Amino acid sequence: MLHTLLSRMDLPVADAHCDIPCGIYDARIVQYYAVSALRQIDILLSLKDKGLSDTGFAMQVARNTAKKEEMAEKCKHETRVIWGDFMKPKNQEDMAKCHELAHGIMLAGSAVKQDLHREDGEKLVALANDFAEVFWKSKGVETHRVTTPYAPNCEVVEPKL
Amino acid sequence: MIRLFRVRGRSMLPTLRPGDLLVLRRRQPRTDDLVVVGHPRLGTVVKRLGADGRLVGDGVESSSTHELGKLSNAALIGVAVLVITPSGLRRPKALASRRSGNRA
Repeated sequence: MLHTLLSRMDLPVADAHCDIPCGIYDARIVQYYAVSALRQIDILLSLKDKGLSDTGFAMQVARNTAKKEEMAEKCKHETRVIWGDFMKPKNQEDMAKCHELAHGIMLAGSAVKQDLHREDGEKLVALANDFAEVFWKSKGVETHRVTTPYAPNCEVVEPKL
Repeated sequence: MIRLFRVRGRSMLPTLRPGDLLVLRRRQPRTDDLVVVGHPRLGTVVKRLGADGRLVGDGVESSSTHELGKLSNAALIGVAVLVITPSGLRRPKALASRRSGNRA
């Protein structure tokens, strides 16, 4: 209650540096987990056409559901790390966009965990791509969009390194 | 004077989590106190005051003590007397099995 109230205030920040220091931050890990979550959704949606036994079906659903949730949660976690530890408000417009995208990834990641709709996974990938664009822009690195050469063959933002 | 700071980063885990709020008092710091300092290179940081006035992090990901240096090289902003977390208030406690020395 008190924390919620005070957190709304614009307080100065004390950095508990997450710095070995490695300084290695890369938004591609957010996309990796988003795409992996989408892949798990596709696998789950295709299971009923595989002619599995009841036991085999149940087992496969359990495995892929667990993996889907793990991938979505890792996507959220890596977003929080980049958003919280790396992103700095050098550009207010980009920072506002970053806040909005990070929050969007939290919501989309949870939606992927809660149910089984391909559009939820697609939304997570789209947000991860937009987040990656803001990330690379903050580093002054150009990006382009390519299609993954593996299922789910979706579009991802890649830095031109 | 009391001041409030928001914690960012994970180097003080498990003592402090990102987003925790620190209530600071301006007083003479003692060994094992959580201090917020203006570090000449790292900016405003929260660390624990180790033996011999060295600044150390509680988490495995923290900067090395060698890199952080001593409190005398940084400007003390305040000593944490209370931590406000989403689950309530608590006093900053010392870690039972805190490491010491370099942790690069």
